[in-house]
Amino acid sequence: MECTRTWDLLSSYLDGDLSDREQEGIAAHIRQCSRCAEEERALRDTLSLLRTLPAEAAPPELLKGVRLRIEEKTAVPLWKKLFLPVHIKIPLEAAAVVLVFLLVYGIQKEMPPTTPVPSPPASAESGKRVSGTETVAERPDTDTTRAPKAEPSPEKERKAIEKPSTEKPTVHARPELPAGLASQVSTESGAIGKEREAVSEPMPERPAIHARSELPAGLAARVSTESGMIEPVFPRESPPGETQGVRVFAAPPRLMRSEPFGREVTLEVDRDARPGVEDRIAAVAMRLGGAVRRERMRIATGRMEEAMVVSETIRVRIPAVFADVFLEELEKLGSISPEGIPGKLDIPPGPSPDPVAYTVRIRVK
Amino acid sequence: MDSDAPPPNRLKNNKSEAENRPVDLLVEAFREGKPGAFDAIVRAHQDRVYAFCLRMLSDREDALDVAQEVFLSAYRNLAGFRGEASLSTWLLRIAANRSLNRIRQRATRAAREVMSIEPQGDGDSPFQPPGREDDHPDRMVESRETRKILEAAIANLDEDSRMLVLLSDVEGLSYEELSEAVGIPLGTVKSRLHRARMALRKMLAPVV
Repeated sequence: MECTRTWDLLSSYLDGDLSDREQEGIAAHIRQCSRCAEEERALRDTLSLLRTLPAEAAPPELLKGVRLRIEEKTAVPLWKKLFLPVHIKIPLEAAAVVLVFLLVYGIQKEMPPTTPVPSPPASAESGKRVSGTETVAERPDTDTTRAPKAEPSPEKERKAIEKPSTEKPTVHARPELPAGLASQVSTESGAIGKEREAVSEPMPERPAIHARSELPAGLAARVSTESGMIEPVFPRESPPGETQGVRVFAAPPRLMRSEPFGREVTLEVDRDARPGVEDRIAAVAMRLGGAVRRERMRIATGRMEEAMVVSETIRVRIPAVFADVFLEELEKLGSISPEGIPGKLDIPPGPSPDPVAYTVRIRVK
Repeated sequence: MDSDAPPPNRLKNNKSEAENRPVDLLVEAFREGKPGAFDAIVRAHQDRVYAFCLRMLSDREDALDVAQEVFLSAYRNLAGFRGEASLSTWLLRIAANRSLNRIRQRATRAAREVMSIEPQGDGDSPFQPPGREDDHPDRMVESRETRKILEAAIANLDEDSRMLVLLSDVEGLSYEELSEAVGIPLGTVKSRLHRARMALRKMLAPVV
């Protein structure tokens, strides 16, 4: 083997990377050639020198620096740390939901009224007694925007039917009452508390006020107030100029506006005439050009054998000019108790395209 | 010196495999999220990685910085480490690439902390270190002066040759590992490594 070839393969020879034949050939050449032998020795010593280089001890800052860099790279921002733990995240989110709810509620409550609200008479707010009876003086803004708190429960209604109240009725002085609250009666039991739309117009005449003792026993169930007085008020918009001397209540906020169901009329029918009376009422309303909506509802009786009684409520909406006709037709089907009659009282005079709505409840005599 | 001595590469490979066994356990521990596992990996390899970087860069500050980069890169990518090569080889491969990048970034840098001996004449002329010519290499390397001579000679190699010599003859990587680490074909690795060794041998001729 030539010296040049030997030199080219010396590295591989020293690494043992040649074939056996090449290894033996180079070894034989080295034994014969002193120059190549010297070169092989020098290279072997160089490699030995390299392998004996001592390891360089890393400074302690290396590990510290690595830790620091890892922390920097994997560091979570402070705002993320606050929200990452579940035991912090969930309460924070819950608090945020409550806050948003309160904010929306507050904004809604602070919404300006759609109609001007004159300051109420002092007598209406002071709650003074008139003729020895207690008057109702509740703030209209709270009553008209909150859920009815005196909705009569079926149980109360049943008790009222079975046991008419004999307490002394409370008489409300009409001018001192806010018009919108007139129908709520606002007694301690708060049985009627029916929520209405804002009412701005006073009654043309003082409506009939029925003492509780004057009402039939069956009607007490619907009244079921300690005051024993019913003063229905109908949702109507106040014509300009008619607000003097009466309280005008702003319409409730948009989200709180309830659907007007109109005045309630209780139709008492004989047991024999009971079947199909809803159809007949609907037919009358349709004949008068009105719309009818029938709602079935269940009332608990408290007796085991009659756990539930299904009744039906007829809601009609007819032109105001036919209100009298409609009530007359109802009287042909049965008798309308006095509390159902006031519908006649505030029908606007003369032809009017305004519709009126009635909720007709049927009761078997 | 006996020419029948076993080839050095076989010894290097046996040593490398023996070193890798406990490291694999550390990798598994790190993957399992055991605390302190990565610190243990750093402690096990920091001297080797740092020494390689120092010899590649001839600057302690740069070497420390690059070594930290190496371990930071390992921290990010250790989850994807498949174990086809030993962890030390893998780390050295990262260190080699990072060191070459650093050298290329600081191309204009003149001063080197370790190197204090300027090469004499052109690159082909033998390096003339101080010391007696009859000093034996085994004894020489034990001395601090000889170590400086050797490291200065290494530092005078071009960066590619330096990298190959360090990875092969200092760190003990096989040809295959070298080829994978530097990303060049196996035959090219052999020829380039041979040229690098011969250049180093010429520089060290007066002492070897």
